[in-house]
Amino acid sequence: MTAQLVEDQQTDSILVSAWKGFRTFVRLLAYNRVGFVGFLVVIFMILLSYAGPLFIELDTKTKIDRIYITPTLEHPLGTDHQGRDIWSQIVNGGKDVIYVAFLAALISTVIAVVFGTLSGFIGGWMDSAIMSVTDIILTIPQFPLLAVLAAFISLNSLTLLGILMGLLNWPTLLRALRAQALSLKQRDFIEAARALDLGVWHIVLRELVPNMMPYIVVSFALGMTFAVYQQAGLVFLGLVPISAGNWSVMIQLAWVRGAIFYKDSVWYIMAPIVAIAILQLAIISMTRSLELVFNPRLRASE
Amino acid sequence: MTPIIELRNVTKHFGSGRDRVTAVDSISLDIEPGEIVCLVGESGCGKSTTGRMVVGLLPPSEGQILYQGQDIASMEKADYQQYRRAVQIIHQDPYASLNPTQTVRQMIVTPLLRHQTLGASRNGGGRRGRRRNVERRAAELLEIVDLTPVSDFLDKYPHQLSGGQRQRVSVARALTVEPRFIVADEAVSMVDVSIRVSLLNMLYRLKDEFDVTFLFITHDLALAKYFAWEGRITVMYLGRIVEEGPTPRLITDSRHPYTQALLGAVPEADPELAKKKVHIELRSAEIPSLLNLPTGCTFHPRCPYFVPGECDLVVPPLDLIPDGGSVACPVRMSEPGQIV
Repeated sequence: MTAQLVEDQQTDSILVSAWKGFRTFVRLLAYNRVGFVGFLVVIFMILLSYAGPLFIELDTKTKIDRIYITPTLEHPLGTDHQGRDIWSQIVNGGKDVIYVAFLAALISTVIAVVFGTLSGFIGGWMDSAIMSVTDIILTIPQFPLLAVLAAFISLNSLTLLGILMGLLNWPTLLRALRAQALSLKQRDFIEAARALDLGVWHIVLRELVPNMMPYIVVSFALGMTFAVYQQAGLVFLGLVPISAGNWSVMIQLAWVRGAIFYKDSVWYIMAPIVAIAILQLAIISMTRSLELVFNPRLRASE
Repeated sequence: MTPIIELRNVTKHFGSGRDRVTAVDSISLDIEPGEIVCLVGESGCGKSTTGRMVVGLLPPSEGQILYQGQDIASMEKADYQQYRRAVQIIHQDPYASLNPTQTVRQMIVTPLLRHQTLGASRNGGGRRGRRRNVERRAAELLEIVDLTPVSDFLDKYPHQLSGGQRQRVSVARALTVEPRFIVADEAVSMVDVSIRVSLLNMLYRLKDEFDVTFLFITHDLALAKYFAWEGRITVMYLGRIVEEGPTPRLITDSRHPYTQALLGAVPEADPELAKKKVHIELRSAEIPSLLNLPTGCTFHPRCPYFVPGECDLVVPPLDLIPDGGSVACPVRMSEPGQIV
């Protein structure tokens, strides 16, 4: 009879269980108000940056009679030093920023998770080797290194920039994850998994990593914010010759064109700064909710 | 019969140099199939270390551990895997022994799927048939450990279960690999007293139904007496076995002063019985540090029968006594023990 019950539970179709999972996901996200608002804003920024350009074309036409006009209906955020619409630049300029930040955070998180858990869980020579490399990378001042690298390699590809940043940003997270793995591997449930002969991969992927997930996800989000500032800084200093317009490039152009010297140009320089600030704030708020999503104490269905 | 588990002069050190601690000092123990053996002692006496060495989670520093007559340190890979699954452990802390991120279903199904103990024959071939068999087996296992109705428990996370229920999940998880030998390391000591007995009875039932041999580790002689009345009790003190023997003999006619002290410390619910109880006056209540063990018999600084010049010089051997079992105390071994 029991077996019958079990099979009945299995009969939920994939669609139904996907819907149930989605509902639980939303419920957990909404658990924390601030986090949920952050999540919605992040979604909005992503939609704006990726779907927005389909509707709002980048204004590239120079209009000498319209330099630095304050917001009107036609130009919601005014115009820049060449009379081009700022709103269209904001809509078109988010894609690259988000892409590079996501790529950098993804690469650094994957490196940190894989090698951090291996280092902590397996230990021995593997641990020593990984930790030596980590400590070396950790002591290299990253920003100057990126600046130097930018001078040697022509960093005109966004993907290359993201990869480079990702390859440099993992050491702190790796150290934290290693410490977590070290403490988790002493737990009885890991011992039980070893006694059941479940294999190293199972133990790392199914027992260790899920228990570190809240931390990993939050670190990923924070890694994104870090990468946003990092690329903005590189572009602002003019070290990355990226031709396409994005928020970082806008700030740099506004600065170079002396936008800070005119009263009416405040919209030009503030628009990308505020856009970046909103994105960052939203990502950081979102981490509050993400923590909860991966917390098994809340995950159970109601 | 070959013992299912045999310990030969097993020693375990931790640390090195000045910080070296000998947690287990040259102990030997045979456990026959179907037997129940209780390992009793205070915390820090090495009983858990012994248990973890038996399961293969810790390698012994010296000595050998044999499974069905084969040394586990020099086994072929296939034999070792067989041993690995045949010997399981149930941990003390039900709040630490289950992964908080997995449901009961995941915990039970994963080892079943991995070890392919169930063919696909019953429900037709293929992955789906196998999956169905595994699900059915998981439900059976939960029924065996009295987690019924099963559907109430399959999708629960550990934090939604009580301590006793978690401990039952632990047992069900251990049973997935059809073990021949289970080390129950203080398996009921962190569970509410009121459900201890039902948990013990459930474990006891496994002995007959699944032909499982138990090494039951506990600090509580009353529990040992209840669980292993037909088996044996081994008393450990600071890494050494001080007395062992059939439970009835050890409880009613203990010889080693330490066993007698432990028995005297067992609280009795009945005040009449409590009054009649013989309490041994120890010379010191302090347990010596493992870092600085007393010479000779490690119990001598606390022992009321201490003989200067003998107990503090020679490590007493574990000698057989005619009434069953053996005692590591030449001074008291032939004295009839008090009925405690």
